[in-house]
Amino acid sequence: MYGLVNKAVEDLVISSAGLETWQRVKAHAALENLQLLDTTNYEDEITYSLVHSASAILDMPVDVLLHAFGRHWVLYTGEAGWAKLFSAGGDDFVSFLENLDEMHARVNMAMPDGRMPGFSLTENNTGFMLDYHSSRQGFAPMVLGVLEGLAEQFEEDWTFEHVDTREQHGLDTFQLIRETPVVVGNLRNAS
Amino acid sequence: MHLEQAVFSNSELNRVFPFHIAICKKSSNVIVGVGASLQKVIGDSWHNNSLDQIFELARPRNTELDLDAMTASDKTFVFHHRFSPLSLRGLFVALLDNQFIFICSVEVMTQNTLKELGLGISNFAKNDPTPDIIILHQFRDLQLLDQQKQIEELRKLVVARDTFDQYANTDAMTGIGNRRHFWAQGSTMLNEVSEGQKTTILLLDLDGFKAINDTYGHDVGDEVLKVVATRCQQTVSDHGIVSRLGGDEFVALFRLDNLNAVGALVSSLMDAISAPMVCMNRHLVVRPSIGVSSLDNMQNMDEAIHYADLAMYEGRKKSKGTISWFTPEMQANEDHRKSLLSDIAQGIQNRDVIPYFQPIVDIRKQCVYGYEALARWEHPIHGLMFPGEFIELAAEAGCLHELDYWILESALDQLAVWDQQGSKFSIHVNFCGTSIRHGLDTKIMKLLSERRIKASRLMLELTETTLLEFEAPEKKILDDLAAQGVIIQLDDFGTGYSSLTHLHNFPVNGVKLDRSFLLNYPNNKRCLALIKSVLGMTQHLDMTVVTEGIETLEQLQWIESIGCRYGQGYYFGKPAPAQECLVALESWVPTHEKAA
Ligand code: HEM
Repeated sequence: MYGLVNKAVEDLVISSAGLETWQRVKAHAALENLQLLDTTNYEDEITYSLVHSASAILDMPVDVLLHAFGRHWVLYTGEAGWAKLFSAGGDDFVSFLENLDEMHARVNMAMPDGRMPGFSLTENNTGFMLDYHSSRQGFAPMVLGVLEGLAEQFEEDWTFEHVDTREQHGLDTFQLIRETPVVVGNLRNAS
Repeated sequence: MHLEQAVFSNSELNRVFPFHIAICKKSSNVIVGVGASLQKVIGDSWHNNSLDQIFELARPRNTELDLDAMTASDKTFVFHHRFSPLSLRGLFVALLDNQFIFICSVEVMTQNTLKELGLGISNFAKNDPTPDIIILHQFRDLQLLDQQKQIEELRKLVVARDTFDQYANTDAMTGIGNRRHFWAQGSTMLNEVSEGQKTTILLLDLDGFKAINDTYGHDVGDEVLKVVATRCQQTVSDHGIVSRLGGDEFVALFRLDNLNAVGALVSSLMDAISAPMVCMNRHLVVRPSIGVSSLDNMQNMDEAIHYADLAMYEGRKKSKGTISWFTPEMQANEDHRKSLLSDIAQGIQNRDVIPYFQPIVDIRKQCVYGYEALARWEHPIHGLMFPGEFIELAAEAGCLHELDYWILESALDQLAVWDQQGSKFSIHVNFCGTSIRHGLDTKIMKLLSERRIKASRLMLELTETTLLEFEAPEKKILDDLAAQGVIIQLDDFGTGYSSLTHLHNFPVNGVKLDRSFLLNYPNNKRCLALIKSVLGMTQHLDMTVVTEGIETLEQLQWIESIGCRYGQGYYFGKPAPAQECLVALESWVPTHEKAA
């Protein structure tokens, strides 16, 4: 994966546990001398190693860490160099998700070695269903984190459920439900 | 199949060209419609306005707003929105009824263009690469940042490497190069072709440097090293390199055209270093010993340094403070020395090293009083060798202790034989300092008792220098031996510090005056006076004195006349194998009879 992703892992560890912990994570992954660059494509092994080492050093299960990483990803891409692009993703949560596939496809132009995930959003009677396709295993917890971060970014209240998993159903699918704001006046009328 | 005419619905037009502008030429180029994305940016301001009122044609410059001509042209047209930062780039197509459409997209001026205009990816047609330009720009920015990081990392590495090199190659004390530096630079120099030039390597050691440290302190010593380093550097650096190898040892490697020039440089180095210096207000003069090797075919650094080292070693053997040049004979000597070094331990084990015995005579009683056991090495190839040729080797090989002990044991064996033959002598055995080890007293007493020899018949001869180096444990061993009756004698007295203070500190019962006192007899009056005064003093201390080096009757008579009781020297007999001793004894004629 491109260094951008690994850098986001680095950024998460450093901002939450300090530089020294990050050095320990790298040492644990036997990557002491790794100097990450955003625009270099690295073997996926490196990402997996870093995530697993961070999970060991921070004493956090891998899926919890990936979830935190997903939330951080929104902040990171929103700030580190991609801020302008991020703002072009959409004006609200749903439109951002609608454009996500296209966004990754366009980013793929600049980063031709990337293997971008695919997303498709469909509306149903409770909200939306988001299908997540990837050539990689294990990043579904990250998607949940990104969704949470994204909703927060747009200041919208959403709940998410990982309804189908790749292991069981061949595809990761998330149910997205928008919380309707409770208006005090309505409550009074109802009583 | 060719499409003769394409009819787009409004929504299709919007999907494919979301920034288009529809213009009616008939009504003075009034705008009749715009794409949804353009509408998002410019709002309704276009209603009932002509193209010219809302947009300014920016490129090509000086072009008239003639829609027919513009449609017919292949050119790209850029329009600036007069009320926002929006620019549109595209071309004109003509529709029916004098309608024209400007098919265009946003011209990306800066990375902020989309943000400033409030546009997102979804506002662009799916096949419109305009947003990609922004993505590419952003990617390029990241690449530049990455590049800077890499350059910065590289710079740090280079600085770190340079600093490391600097540290690793510099002698911290003097600031000149160190051993590592010398090896690296020197090896390169040796490997370079030196057209007709002499490559010379020079080792330099300061004589008496330890004394400077001991007397004035290490601060002064360190200053001396700095001054010497600077002087070496100044003298040599135009022609080669100088480094400090460690301690007070310096090394230089240089190239000069001929041997005369080399000689001149070496001499000027000697002069420079020997010149007086002031270090921490002390006026000092240090003299170096210099070993030089100037050969045409020196291959590697080890070899080169080895030659210079040999030269220095050989030079120092003769005299300190000199310049000594390497010669091939030195290497031959060294080879010989090395082969002996590897033989010595075996020689002791094979009992090729044996005691020879030299008589010590009781001058007053006119009889042989005892024998000194002196080690001789009967080398299977090199023949008979003397202690001067192998004691140092034995020390270097770490078997001096075995040698001393073996000579003692076999001397005592011989004494026991003589005892059986009815002659009672004392036996004098030399011991070096390192042989005086824990348990020696018990061992010696055991050897004596096994052979039924009284302890007082054994005289251990130790030099002054040996005694000087002794600490409490060695002194205790000597005390124990003396307490059990063994006699301790100070050997070669007069060659070292010649201080009788040792006689008080150690259980010394006798002194052997070094043979050098009688050299040039009777001309060296000073020596003779010294013998007399030592005799006087030792008599007061109730010690025996043996004068060594008696070679003539005159010397013997003089020694007898001043009251010295014991003597040793060629006059009485040379060191000889045990079996020859008694024969010699039988043919020995007492002094009085000879004189008569
Ligand atoms: C401006 C916003 C974004 C940019 C620039 C971006 C870009 C990228 C890039 C460059 C990769 C690495 C692919 C590779 O190197 O092979 C990636 C991976 C990924 N992205 Fe995004 N992304 C963005 C937003 C999002 C959002 C909002 C989500 C989820 C809702 C998301 C989900 C993922 C996931 C799950 C991966 C992991 C790779 C995989 O699943 O195979 N991304 N993205």
